[in-house]
Amino acid sequence: MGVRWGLLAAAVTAIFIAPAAPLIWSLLAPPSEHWAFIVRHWLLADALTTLALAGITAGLAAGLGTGLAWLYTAYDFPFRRGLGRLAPLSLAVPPYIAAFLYVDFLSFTGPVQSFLRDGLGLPPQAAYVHLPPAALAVGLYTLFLFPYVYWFVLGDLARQDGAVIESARLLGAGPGRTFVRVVVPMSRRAIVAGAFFVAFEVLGDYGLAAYLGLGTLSTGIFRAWYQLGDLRSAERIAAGFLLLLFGLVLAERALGRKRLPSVPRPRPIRPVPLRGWRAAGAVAAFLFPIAFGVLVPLYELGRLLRFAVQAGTVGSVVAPLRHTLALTVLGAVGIVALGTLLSVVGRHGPGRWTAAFPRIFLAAYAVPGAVIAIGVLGLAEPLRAHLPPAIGAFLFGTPLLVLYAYHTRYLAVGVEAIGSAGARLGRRTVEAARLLGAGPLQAIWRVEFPLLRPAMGSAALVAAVELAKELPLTLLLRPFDFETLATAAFRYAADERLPQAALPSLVIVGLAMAATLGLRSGAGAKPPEARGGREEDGDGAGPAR
Amino acid sequence: MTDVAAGEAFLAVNDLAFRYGKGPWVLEGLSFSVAKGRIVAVSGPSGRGKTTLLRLIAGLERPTRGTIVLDGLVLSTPRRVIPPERRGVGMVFQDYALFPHLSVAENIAFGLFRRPRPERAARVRELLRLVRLEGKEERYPHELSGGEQQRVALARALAPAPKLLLMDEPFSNLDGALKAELIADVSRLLRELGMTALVVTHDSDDAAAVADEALRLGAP
Repeated sequence: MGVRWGLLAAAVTAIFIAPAAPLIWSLLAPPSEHWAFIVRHWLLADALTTLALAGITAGLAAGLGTGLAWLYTAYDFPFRRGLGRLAPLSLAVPPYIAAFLYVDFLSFTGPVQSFLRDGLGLPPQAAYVHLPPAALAVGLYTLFLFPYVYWFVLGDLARQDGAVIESARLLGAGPGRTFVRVVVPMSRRAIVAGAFFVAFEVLGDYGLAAYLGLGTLSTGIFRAWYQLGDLRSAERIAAGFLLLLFGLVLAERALGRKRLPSVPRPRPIRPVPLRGWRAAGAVAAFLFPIAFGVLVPLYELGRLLRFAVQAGTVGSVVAPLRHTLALTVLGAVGIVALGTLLSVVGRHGPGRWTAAFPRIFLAAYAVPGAVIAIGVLGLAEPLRAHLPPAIGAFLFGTPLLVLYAYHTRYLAVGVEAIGSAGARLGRRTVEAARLLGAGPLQAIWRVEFPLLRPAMGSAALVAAVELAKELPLTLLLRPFDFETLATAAFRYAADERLPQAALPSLVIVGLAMAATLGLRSGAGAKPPEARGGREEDGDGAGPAR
Repeated sequence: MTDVAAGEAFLAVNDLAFRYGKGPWVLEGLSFSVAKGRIVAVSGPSGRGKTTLLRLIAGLERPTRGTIVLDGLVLSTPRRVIPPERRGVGMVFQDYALFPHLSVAENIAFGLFRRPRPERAARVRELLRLVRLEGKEERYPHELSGGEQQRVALARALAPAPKLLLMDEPFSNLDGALKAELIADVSRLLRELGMTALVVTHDSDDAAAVADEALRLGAP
């Protein structure tokens, strides 16, 4: 491909990475008058809280996800396949929706305490269930984010040699010892990748922390911008957040060891049939996340929805629904189009440097929405005063900034899906076309594109679901009186109007569950970074699920 | 080489039958016994259950019918299978199945975790000497040749002094002089230790070289 394409890819990258500039600049420019106050009273506590929440959640999620993935791979028990597909569905409930659902579920007027009083006759007391918010946060994060680890490890175990596990057992190691001494070390890379992915998701959350009243770096950014009106300080917090993320990425590199050389023809692990109480235990282990991560939220949503219907407030979902549809469709199209451009140029580009551009966006996926939003505001706000009214209205009165920031954050989805599909195709088909007389562009267009279409389709679907669920970025950048399903759900919940929050939440959760179940675990169902690592190692093998 | 005789049965297999679910029968009523210290070559056309037989004896599968008895202890019946880790049966797999994250010494020591540390080290040294791999303790499996990996797999399986050793096509990944050398070493080693062993192989020459007796599956 010509240099022009490489420059085009560079330009696209520059455009969407631009939000980083104000953040870096904020570290160099003098701080605002509020900065000292912020540092002394908020920043340190927020940072520690953020790290603690992310770290503890990552550890618990790693345990839960790895344990369940191992149970699924190594053992056979009743309803195994169905349970294995249902358990990760808790991912369809975004943390900020889980937050208000569970607080209501456990509240004085909620079903649990009502049952304790009415059903069991216990005396009314303010707190039969009194969880410290931080503990509830960790529990909810773990329950609703562990599927990332589950999928990462499941994919890794599917490619391991069953004979190694059997050898361990024949050498006298029981199931526990085999798990600790053989399975975990061999899957270490996947476990670490999954745990860090969960940590990044916790870092990116705003809604759950805000709803539970916890101070994190994300809520700190909101606080600086909305309460103090101090964009510069918000930029500084965001910049510090970026540095923290960078540190975490380095930590991940250090902890996950290099991929172990694999056997040429590994025999897949054969599930050992379980009987009796052991089988019941395995089933119970899977029922735990299904009950608390899927059934309770759905039950709560249904319960709240009934109140909404009785009160006649259902109509309020129409406008947010329209807005979400428009944004997700436009966003998904843009993400897939640009993602395809970047990954195709990255693979066939004029030089090896073009491969860097897709990688940059893979890294950008880990950046919290609030950070990116502040970067966008940092670019746009200074222009506000100087723009002619028409352009100003266009920029700030429409969700243009939201769409723009969506690309920065989620281009990785397109890049990853198209990139790994393209890597699997290899260069042979295009080279064959070239030898038959097709020019470079023609070859790619006529040979690769049709083969990439399925990956583009599922990438669009994954991107749409991610965009529908997105909260902090949309909250910060949306124009006045513009709600999406996510922002509507959050704002109603924050106002304690839970029944009205239920309907937009139900739409989001329903869409996400349908997408997770519908997309066969392959190119679609996993998040970008789940597959990114494999491609980098260039072993050429397609993801084996 | 003689056919398996009904001598003093150290390993006794009675009316062993196996199939997956309602699929075709892989084994149909196999009975034989092996005296202690004998090495038996299990041969026959592929797909006739040789590997399945080993897996049943190892406790990795449950018999559909029949029993397996080793040293007077009933290891497997359709109703109860003693787990692999408690059968006293060792196995060398066709693709060696070494632990990639452990060194040669750690691989060999894996089955010795119940023994005190000094005893472990001594046993590992002894086995390295027996399979002629001294000096390679700190290497990792991917740094070894096929023949060397095979020796590590053998040493690892023998380390916990199993009552019975199973070998699944141990020589099929090698050829030429290396293979002949390995066959000779394995044969010598098993006899030196007085090991009772079942060796699955499709090559009748290999079988003759390493074993005392033959068991043919699926023979007319």
